[in-house]
Amino acid sequence: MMEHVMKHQEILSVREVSFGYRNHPVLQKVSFSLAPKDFLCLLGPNGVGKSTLFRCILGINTGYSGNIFLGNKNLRTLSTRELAEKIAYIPQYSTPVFGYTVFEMVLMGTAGSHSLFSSPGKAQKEAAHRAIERMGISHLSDRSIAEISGGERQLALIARALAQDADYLLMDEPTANLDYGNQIRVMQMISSLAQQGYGILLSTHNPEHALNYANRILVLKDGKVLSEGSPQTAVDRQILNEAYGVNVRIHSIEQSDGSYLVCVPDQIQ
Amino acid sequence: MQKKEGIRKESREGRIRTILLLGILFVVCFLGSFLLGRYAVSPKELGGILLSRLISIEPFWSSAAERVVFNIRLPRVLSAALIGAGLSAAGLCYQGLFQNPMVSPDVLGASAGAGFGAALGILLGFSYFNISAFSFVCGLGAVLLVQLVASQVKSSPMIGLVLGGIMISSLFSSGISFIKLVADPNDTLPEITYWLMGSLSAIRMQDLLFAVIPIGIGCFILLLLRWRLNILTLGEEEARSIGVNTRILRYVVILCATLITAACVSISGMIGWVGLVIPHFARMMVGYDYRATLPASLLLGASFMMLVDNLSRTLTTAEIPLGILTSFVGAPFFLYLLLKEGKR
Repeated sequence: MMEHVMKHQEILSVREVSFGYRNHPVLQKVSFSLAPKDFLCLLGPNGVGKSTLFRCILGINTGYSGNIFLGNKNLRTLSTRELAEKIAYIPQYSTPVFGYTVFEMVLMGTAGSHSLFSSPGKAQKEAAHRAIERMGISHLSDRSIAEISGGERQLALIARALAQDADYLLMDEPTANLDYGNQIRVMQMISSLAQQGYGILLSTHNPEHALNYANRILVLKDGKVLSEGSPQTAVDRQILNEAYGVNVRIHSIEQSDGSYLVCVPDQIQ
Repeated sequence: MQKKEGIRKESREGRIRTILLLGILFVVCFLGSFLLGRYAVSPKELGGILLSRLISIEPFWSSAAERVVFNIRLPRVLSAALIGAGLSAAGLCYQGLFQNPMVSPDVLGASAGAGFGAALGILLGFSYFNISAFSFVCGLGAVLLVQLVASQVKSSPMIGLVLGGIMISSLFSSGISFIKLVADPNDTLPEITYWLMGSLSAIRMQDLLFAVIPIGIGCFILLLLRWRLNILTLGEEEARSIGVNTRILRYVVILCATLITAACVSISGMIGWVGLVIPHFARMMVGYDYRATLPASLLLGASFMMLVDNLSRTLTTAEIPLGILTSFVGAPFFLYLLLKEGKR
């Protein structure tokens, strides 16, 4: 397994971040931190502010109160390029309008590393090749991003983030709109990236993904942190009820290759 | 992996080959265009006339042939090539900027502004050259207004630009209609109407020299930015997350594409469809990477415009305005593309 060498061992810490659109508060004093090798899953109902939180970290929403630090640097003081060297973003699945090949798309991840008028050179092309290989999609290199499956496209976007050579990967619902098999493949791939040294922050609608792949879970409700901790401690029947308003039981299925946690809704709500 | 490399190399070589072929097409169209017209010039005479400027050759052609080639056909063929290339490049870049392949070079009001300027210039009895210059300035002014409107829109800069473009275009279009209303129906009105249809029949060397500067500068900068243009198609937020601040890039691209569009319209009038159809065709041939699509669009656009201009001056005894012909060829072709894509 390839080990990702962290350029820094800096911790990403979000401290009391609040954000609102006009007079409508979205995030209220959200705090958490993320270290290398962490795989932190964000859970919470639609509209709870998961995407808004990502946009604050990425510097797209600048009008937040509170601070976000990387090591001892405030993210507000970093330029777009400096930020991209540390944090990469993998957007939600969408059907692309322009049918770039997978290689061309991944190569774009290297854009921050060279100047306005230059084209990618040998080093950037090699970085793109390595990233594609790492995601196991070398056979798709020359295929159009518009023609491959949703899961393959998600892997290509992750490869682009790897080519960007950042330490932290932010993923906004990477498994949304993927079929069952692709969801599992993408989650396993992400989980192995965390083991290789990347720090991962991922939002998902599926608590089972959080329970089985992440090592930490953060549950948001009404823009506030409802609970945080390891999969064993952060999520239980009561928390899921408060977050989603449904009654589910969490069962552990023991198998020869380990255990798997499943959420089963009560038959009579 | 070895096999993979092979495939990629081939596709890259394939693109280079396609662009070379387009280059040959361009040269053939360019030279061929000198031979067509009411005054017959043979290929041998053309060769002699063109080469005589470089090396001394005993003239075996008539002086009339030489005048036709240099004074009439050269400015015409050059301007057709320039406008075709310019409008295609501008269209291609606007399409990437707006992440929408259905966008054409007039999206930000450059055409409507330039059209208004020309109509007003004709109404006020400007000289031909001043009409072009005034039209160019109005084209730039229209886009500047759109930029001002967009900068006041808080939600998204792209939405501001699109809506601003629609509004400002519409304002200038109604301005054109008003000028037509008050213009003298015996001479000024037909002149305005004919100008708006788009034509190269009155073009002279000095108009060409006037337009070649903004079009040349615009295309040159866009060519330098060719790889960066790909990043624009990702949209502002995604581009930002990979470390590219698109704001500056966006302004530069808008400025270049606007210089090109306004200059094209100011010397030729409204010529539609080229800036929309040629980029599609270029993408079908060489893929999406701007490093290949931009040169392909330039060459293909220039060739296409020279061909259409040849049709415009040879089909009938009276010239058919270019704008009519490009729509006549462009619209059905676009329909064909649409139906073909639906099948996929």
